[in-house]
Amino acid sequence: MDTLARRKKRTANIRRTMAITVMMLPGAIWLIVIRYLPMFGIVMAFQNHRPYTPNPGFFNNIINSPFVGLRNFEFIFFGDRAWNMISNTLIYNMVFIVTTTVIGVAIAVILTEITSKFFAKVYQTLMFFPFFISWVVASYFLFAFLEPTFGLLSDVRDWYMDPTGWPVILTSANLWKNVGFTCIIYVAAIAGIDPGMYEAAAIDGASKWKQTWYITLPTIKPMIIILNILAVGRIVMADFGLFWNLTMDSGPLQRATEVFDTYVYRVMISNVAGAADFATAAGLFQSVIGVICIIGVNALVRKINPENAMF
Amino acid sequence: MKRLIAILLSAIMLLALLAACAPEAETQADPDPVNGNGEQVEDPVEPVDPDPVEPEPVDPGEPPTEITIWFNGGNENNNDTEVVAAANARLQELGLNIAINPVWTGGWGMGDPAQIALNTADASIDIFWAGTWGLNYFNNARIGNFIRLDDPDNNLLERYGQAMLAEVEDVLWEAFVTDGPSGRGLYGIPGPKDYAAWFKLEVNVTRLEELGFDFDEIFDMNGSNSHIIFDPIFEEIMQAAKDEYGDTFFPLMLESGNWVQQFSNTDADITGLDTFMFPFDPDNPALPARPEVTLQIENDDFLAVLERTRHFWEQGFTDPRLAIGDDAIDRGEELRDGNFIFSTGQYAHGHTGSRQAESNLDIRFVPLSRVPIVSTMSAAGSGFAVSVYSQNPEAAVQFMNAWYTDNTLAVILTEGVEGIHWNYDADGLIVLDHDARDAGPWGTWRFGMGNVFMLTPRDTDGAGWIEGFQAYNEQGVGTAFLGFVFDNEPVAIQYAAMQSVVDEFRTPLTVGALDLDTAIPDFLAALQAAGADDVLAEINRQLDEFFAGR
Amino acid sequence: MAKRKKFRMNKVSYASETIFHVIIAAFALMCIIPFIFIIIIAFSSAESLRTVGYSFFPTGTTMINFNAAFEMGDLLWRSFANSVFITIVGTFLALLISSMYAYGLYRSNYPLKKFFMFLMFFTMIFGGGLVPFVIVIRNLLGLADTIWALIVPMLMAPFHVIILRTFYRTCIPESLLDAANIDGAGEFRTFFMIVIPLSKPGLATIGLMTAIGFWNDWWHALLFIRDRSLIPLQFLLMEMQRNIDFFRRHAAMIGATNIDMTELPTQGLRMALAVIIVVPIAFAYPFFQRYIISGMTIGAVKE
Repeated sequence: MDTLARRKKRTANIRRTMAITVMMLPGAIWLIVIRYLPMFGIVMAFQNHRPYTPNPGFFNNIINSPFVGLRNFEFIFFGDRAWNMISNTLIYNMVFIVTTTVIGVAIAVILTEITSKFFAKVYQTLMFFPFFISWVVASYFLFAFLEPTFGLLSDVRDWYMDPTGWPVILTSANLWKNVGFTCIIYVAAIAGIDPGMYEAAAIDGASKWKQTWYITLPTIKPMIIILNILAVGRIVMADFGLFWNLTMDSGPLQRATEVFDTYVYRVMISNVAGAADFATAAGLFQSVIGVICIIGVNALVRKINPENAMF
Repeated sequence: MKRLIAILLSAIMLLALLAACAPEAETQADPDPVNGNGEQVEDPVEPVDPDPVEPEPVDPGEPPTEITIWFNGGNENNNDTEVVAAANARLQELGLNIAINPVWTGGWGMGDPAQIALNTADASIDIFWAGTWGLNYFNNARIGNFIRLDDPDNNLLERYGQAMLAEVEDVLWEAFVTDGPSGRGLYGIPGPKDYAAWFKLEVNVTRLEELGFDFDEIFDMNGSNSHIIFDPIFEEIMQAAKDEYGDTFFPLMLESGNWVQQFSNTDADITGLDTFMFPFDPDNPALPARPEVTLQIENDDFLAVLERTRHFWEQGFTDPRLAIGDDAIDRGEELRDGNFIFSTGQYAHGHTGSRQAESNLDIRFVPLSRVPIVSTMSAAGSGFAVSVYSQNPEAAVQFMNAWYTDNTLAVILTEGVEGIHWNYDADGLIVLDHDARDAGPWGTWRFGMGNVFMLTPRDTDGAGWIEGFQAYNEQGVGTAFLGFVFDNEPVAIQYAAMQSVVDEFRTPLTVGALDLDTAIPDFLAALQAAGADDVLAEINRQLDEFFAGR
Repeated sequence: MAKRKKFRMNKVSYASETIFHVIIAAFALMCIIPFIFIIIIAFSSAESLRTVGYSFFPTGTTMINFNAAFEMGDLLWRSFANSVFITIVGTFLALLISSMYAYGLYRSNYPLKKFFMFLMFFTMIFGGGLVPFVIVIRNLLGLADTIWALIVPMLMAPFHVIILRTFYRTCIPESLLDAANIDGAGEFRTFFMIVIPLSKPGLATIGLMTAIGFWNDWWHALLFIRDRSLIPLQFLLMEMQRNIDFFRRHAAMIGATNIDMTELPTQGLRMALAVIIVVPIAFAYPFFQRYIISGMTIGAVKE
């Protein structure tokens, strides 16, 4: 009788595992075909890739192209401009991570505290609006303010010729575009919190501030941590549109606004021999740094609280 | 974790293998010779037949060979059904069992997919548009993305392109000769077009006369006017315009990329960096002013023009928007509305009338040099190349030959179909039906898409347009550097690093937006930090070889 | 009634709430003004731009920009229809795949959890490069020049899956699912009857992001679509922008080849197109928002 029950349970477990696996399959197949298969192309980052003229074809080209070691990576570190763009990328990303998290959480908390659900809804709708607007379109708007002759702020300074102020403009623009969206994730997470907890705390005399500190923040902490681990993984990647379109790619701003992706893009569209190999190498470099950062941060999180670690 | 990675890696390798088989299987379906092991064998070398092949009578039963052509610049007709049907019918009439399948990309900025198609060995495209800009002809030829057409092994040009060889000017064929994996030769077919470039100052005479100046007194239409910017009258006119039309009127609508260069007797920088000076003798462009190449900002002529430009900027003559990269569009609007006194642009025949006709303005082009020049950049400006992945290179060359030498086919592909997109007027000129043609925001690129000289003139061109165009081109003098192409492979790292520096300084510097006292030393230092000296040395080494080989 | 009163009791003071309103309203206004401004510019006449520049109060209005956009005719409408199709179909499929995948990662007693997590996580930061990606989509899957080339590459976003899993964790107690399992419900039943309804706010958030992703995508069209009848709306705007960028970059070389820059699309036309692109997706937003807001009351259900 007992063994029968146990066997029954085991078959049920196996059946459950099978069922979940079936549910995972579409995603897993997609990942393997769309994301893993192309990874063999990484080999191009180490090659001087060119057509194999006797019998050209993608795989023949790869097999017959000469290997050049790390030569394709050299341009990332060549000259003072290269180091300038690397430090720009790191600094901007760190500032973006901090500002987006702090302001995103703050606005989410405030939104849920607003009594009128109608106003909360209106604010949220409006705040989300910039997320629809591509950087190209956003750049038209900024241009209307900063344009040297007709712009609304053209008297202050020649904006596109003077890098001062651009770090602030870009950080604000990043916030402007992304806070609405970050805040929605947090609002949805806060919405999942059992209101009974707040009520119990209120009865115990906890102030609103204390409720936020001891209930809201700990509950959404996993979400905050996950979003930030992911952001750290992209520490050497930059939002291309933000840095390219908003600055109008104006030369004199470069010291303050050149980042990894814009630097690589310049090379990619230039006439340099092997531009595609350089771009592949740059992408690989970004990935490797990202992997190292994510594994590091994740280990750190796991040390503090294993539950919040991503894996 | 280790086990996971091991499993993953083996899975990737397995799948990569599977993927590797897939395209192979595809090629197996093609009629290419395949040996028993499934490997493709090299095409057997066909017997060389030096005689041109006469088109064979078309067998009505056989399906036509399909040729896909990648057009940059697009076509106004978003619906190309009628045009393609008419072109294919014409090809059959000419005895060619070929059907074309054009890919009209929406515009110039969409060149990336063409390059990706080449990088990914896309066998579905036979002919690419390629030139010194956009899809780079020389780079792609050098690494082997295009078939060598005069290869003694295949002799495609001699066998299928005799008429085309005779039709297209020799100077264009010469400019297209370059090095590649199959040796030095032709890896593409040049586009017969306005290969002579004449630096001219564009003058808005309507406004000039409004201000009370006499055009004929100031400019000499038969000589060189390049000294004009140093003449006080130039400044006087612009000051008058400023006084008359207000602070937001900018009389000098210069072209950031071209302006300084046009006044300083230098060839276009063939390296693509817009930084090096290829100086020629102003009296005879066929002679180099100095045998070696330097940085532009180390050249006295260049610096003199730069100083003058800076002066104009400080006087408020130049629109400050021009210093920001995104100026092309605004410049276009101002030019269209005639809100300028002086502008620059490279002049070519057949183009003077259009802006005048549109705006009812009296616009004249004042020559900056005595004769137009022909450089590698202008002569190899555009053309077509057969992809190394093409399954039907013979048919591709046959099509090109027909397109370049048959008036009917050329007109169909550029202007459309008679009765639908255009009609003849009494003089036998083409009158466009703009409603039928206008479906997109861009115009067809008539200069360089196929053989311009095979077209029938439009009514706006007037009869004799072709002859005038040819005469204009024939005036062109080849510069000392015509035919020189730079291979940046040995200094690719330095070249890549320089690109960022050039983007930082070049545009604002050449419109006068930067203070020269600080900007020039900064620019120079940054260029040198990026390895400009290595690049210069390599250019001069290749240039020495080029001069020695001539 | 008593409950509502209690609810109101546990609220911030009126003074603080007023401050909140001011801060949030100011920020919200900053978010919407740019769009209003773009609409105004799209309607401003060229004359007005020349005299008063970019202004909230143009001296003259014009329909010329929108007329020019509508003159694109078929191309505009067809690309609009394509965008709608890929957004709806793509978002639905992406939500299905992502939510199922996230479910497996969420179930703590699922033995392959770690493997699938790593399988997905690795792809978030490690990419294969453009060229082989194009080869896979075009040659292996044969999707070039089909509408699926615009859908398949974006069917799953690992980032979204991870957010969704975190949502499950914060909003759905696993004991609830275990109870359902003991009651004899299979995994599919549990997933569709319990998990999906409970995670509506999460799904709506992810769905919204996915929909915007599909709506704003032009890159895959650039890579895979040659047939002009299959391009999406956003592609039209990007095409104009890229053309302008191109001319700017190559101005020095283009001169001789004589392309008339005056034929480039005007800034007004680009603004008009931007408006045409933003409006439909903005209207889709309230649809998703309903669920996100309704999520605020889920706690009451649990109570």
